[in-house]
Amino acid sequence: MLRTLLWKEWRQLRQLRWVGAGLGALLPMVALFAPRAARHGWVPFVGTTDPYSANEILLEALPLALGLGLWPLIALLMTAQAFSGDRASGTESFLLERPVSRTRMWVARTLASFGSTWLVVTVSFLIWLGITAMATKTASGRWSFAFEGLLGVGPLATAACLLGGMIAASILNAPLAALLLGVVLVMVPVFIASTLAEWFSLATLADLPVGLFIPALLLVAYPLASWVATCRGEPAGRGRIFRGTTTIAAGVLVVGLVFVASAPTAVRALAKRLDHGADLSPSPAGPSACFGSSRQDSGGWIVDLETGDRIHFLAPPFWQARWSGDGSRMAVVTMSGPLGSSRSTIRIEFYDAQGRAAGRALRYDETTWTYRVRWAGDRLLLHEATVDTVKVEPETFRLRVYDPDTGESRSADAPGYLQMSGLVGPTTDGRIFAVILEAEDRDKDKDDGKRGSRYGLYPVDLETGEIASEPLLEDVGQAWAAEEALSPSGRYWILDRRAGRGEPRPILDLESGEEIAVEGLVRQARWLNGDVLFWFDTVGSERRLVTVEPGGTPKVLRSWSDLGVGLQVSPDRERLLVTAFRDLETQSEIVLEQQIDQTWVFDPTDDRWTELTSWPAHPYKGSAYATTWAGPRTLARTGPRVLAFESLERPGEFIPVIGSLDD
Amino acid sequence: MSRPAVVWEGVKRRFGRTVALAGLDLAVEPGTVMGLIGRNGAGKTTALRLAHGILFPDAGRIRVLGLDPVNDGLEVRSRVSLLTEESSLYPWMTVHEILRFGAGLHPHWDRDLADGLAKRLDLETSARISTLSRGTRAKVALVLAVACRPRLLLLDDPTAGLDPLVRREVLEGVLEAVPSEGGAVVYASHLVHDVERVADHVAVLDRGHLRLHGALEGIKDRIRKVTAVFEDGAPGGLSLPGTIDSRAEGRVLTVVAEGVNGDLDHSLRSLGAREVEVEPISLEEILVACLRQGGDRESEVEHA
Repeated sequence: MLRTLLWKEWRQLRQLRWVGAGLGALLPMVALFAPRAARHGWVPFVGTTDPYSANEILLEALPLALGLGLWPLIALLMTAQAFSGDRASGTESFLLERPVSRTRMWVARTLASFGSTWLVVTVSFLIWLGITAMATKTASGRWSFAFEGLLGVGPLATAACLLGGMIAASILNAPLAALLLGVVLVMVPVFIASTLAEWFSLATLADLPVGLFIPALLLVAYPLASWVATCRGEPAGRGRIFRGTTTIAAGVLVVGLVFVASAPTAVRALAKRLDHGADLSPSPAGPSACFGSSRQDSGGWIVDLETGDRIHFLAPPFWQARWSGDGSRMAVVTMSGPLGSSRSTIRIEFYDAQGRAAGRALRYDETTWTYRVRWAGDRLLLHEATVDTVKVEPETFRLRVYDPDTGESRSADAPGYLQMSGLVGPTTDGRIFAVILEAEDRDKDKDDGKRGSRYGLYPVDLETGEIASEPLLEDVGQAWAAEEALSPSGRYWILDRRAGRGEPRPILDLESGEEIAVEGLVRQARWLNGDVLFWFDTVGSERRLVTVEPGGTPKVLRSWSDLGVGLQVSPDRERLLVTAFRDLETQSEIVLEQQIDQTWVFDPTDDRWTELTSWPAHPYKGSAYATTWAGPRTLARTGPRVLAFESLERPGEFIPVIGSLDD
Repeated sequence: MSRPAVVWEGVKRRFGRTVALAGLDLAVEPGTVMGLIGRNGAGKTTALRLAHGILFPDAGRIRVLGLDPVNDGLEVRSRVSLLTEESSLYPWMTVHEILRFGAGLHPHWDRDLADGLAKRLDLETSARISTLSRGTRAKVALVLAVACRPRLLLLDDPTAGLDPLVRREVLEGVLEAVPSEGGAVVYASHLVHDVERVADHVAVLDRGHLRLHGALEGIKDRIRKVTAVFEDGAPGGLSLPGTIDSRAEGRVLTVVAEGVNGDLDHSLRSLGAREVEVEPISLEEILVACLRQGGDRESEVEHA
């Protein structure tokens, strides 16, 4: 019986197949001759001086016209004719009055309309291929563009139109109205996809928002809706529209539910991906740390340093995770919304070391930006700007002191003629300073790194947020790097004075006002507690780790030949992580690939060097793997899809956090 | 006792705000030809399409050859044929193709019967449906309807608009096709003479209501026209026993009544009728009387 039905449906679409194939044959012909005619000025809208070439039309315009024009149109026409043609012509009852299963009718119509469409698609593709191959001599790149359209987007659009067209024609009697409704129904998942992708852009899979492809499920609901509309209920069709639209609505609901169910998983999966390793925010006192991917849009966790357990997920996007000095609380700036949305307003949230909310969140409106966050005891010091929302640039700057326990805050505008560049501190006695550029040098800081800018270090009143009117000191150099210049106690300042790379710098004693000359001191120097300074200097091919206490004599601690070295200060400023690496590939002074050779922790209290096991276990080409601080006495070993902790108490024993160490 | 070919029990069906059937109770016994008569819109087509399982009832129950057309629609349609006034034939098919197509859809298709009937009805099998006259299309539809040897044939005014010769051919073809034992025909039409020619039972439908039903001869025997002449003008608004319809014009009162006996005569004479004449009545007149009565009732309801 199915064969009989199929014969009828196939015959009924015969005219459409001929017309479709004819159009498919005619279009390349037109493309072939139109440019020649255009040279004689016979084709409207195409100038005679620079007419399109046959190559361009055959390889660029025609694939689009076929893939996004003719084929989808044929698909809609075929389904409209197959599913509503009989109703429109009054012959529907012939089959209904016979002992024929409506499901078989539906299957026959589906097979006939789909088969006819793909036959036209194949024929017109082959005609295009033949004519284009004969008429053009062109590079393979242009062919690939055409094939992408004709073998990729075109069939997808055609399939979508077949599915949308069959439900439209199943519920409407008029084929032309069904054709238009088919277009609308094809656009529905496209609209939902673009909306979900825009609103929930951070729920991604393979770098594509999941909201972009989950609505494709709706296309699966269309044939189901078509079947329910035509094969269920009364054969004469009462309730057909209701059944069809209800099924579509159910499909939309399913799409929504699948998205709601999958988006959080996708968000977390992306956070675990760690393509370029983890970005850690270590606590100066433990017992937890916070990490996220180096991609700001991928979320992260608060993690227990001891066990490696992920305690609390921080939805993306978040940034500036900062632990208080005692490690009891963390502040984080976030714009996260549900299901991977980043359309929420900016706010600062607070968590304790166990990942529980620990303070009143501070919410901003869209006119405020937050630049810097510093803990000052139990309160938070925030560097904010009021934004011109039209120009999208900051207008005025201010400092705010926020108490997360009470939600109270005080703020004071930064002096109008100054631009704040950074916050320095807190010092061991709790002071914080603002680095402020002088007005005429604002733009030079970023333009000319060597020349630098004039800036001042201004004490900040941590009760009111007010910035002192007079600077504690003035310097000339790169203000953005000034945050490392102040010693932990706040007594010493490494002067910049526009010193070039490798040029020595003096230290300024802020108590006495004296300048202390230090031989070989460079900008990348790091302070540890007790105001002890460490830096690397270079003598020939030798790199040396040098230390000095202001006023004392520099002492070489260790040296390396033909290796690069890196220095990281522990979050409690008690010890150093020293990494020696080999540059594998450089280009114009930019290191592209490095291989880490050795890693040590140096504890200055007892001059002890602890050599760590290699990370990764096997030498690895590339700088994707890194060792960094996760806590005062815990290291983070990180790389693509992996993060592990290593306690200094138990060196060599890795605590997995993300991924497997065996990979 | 044999099972009815079709039974409608309290069947109701609406189309939007229009009531097509308002609680139809009717049974068609096997071996009978039931004439279903009524005006256009009386509910005849709806009753047949409900029996064929193409429409579903809003309320009530239908049994066709013991089957439920709602749940056993395929089985019902394999045993029951529906022949309509404007049969929906595919205009692009030839007669041969549509007969072959019909054969492919029907499990009980009798090819010899179809070929024989097509030959007898002078059907040119190579002709395209779109080129056929209305009468010839009706013949094609007839072949399609009867070649599957239905146990029950539902005819929905299949001869309306056809010339008398074709009407006769079609009706004869129908009656021949239905098995003499156990088969049944329901013939819905507003052409009373056609119905009267073939039906042995009739039912009168009006605006979804069954006004009258029974064996044709019995109805004709039961219902009579009574003409009473009064001296001073016929009285109006009378309530006489068995009255279906009554009309007073001047001194003459015409009553169509069921079960006419001495009571009516006595009643009329007691009201002052000088002459009372009782005469037989045609089916068409009975139908008109029924429909007028139904119309009056509707009007009363509407005015109430």
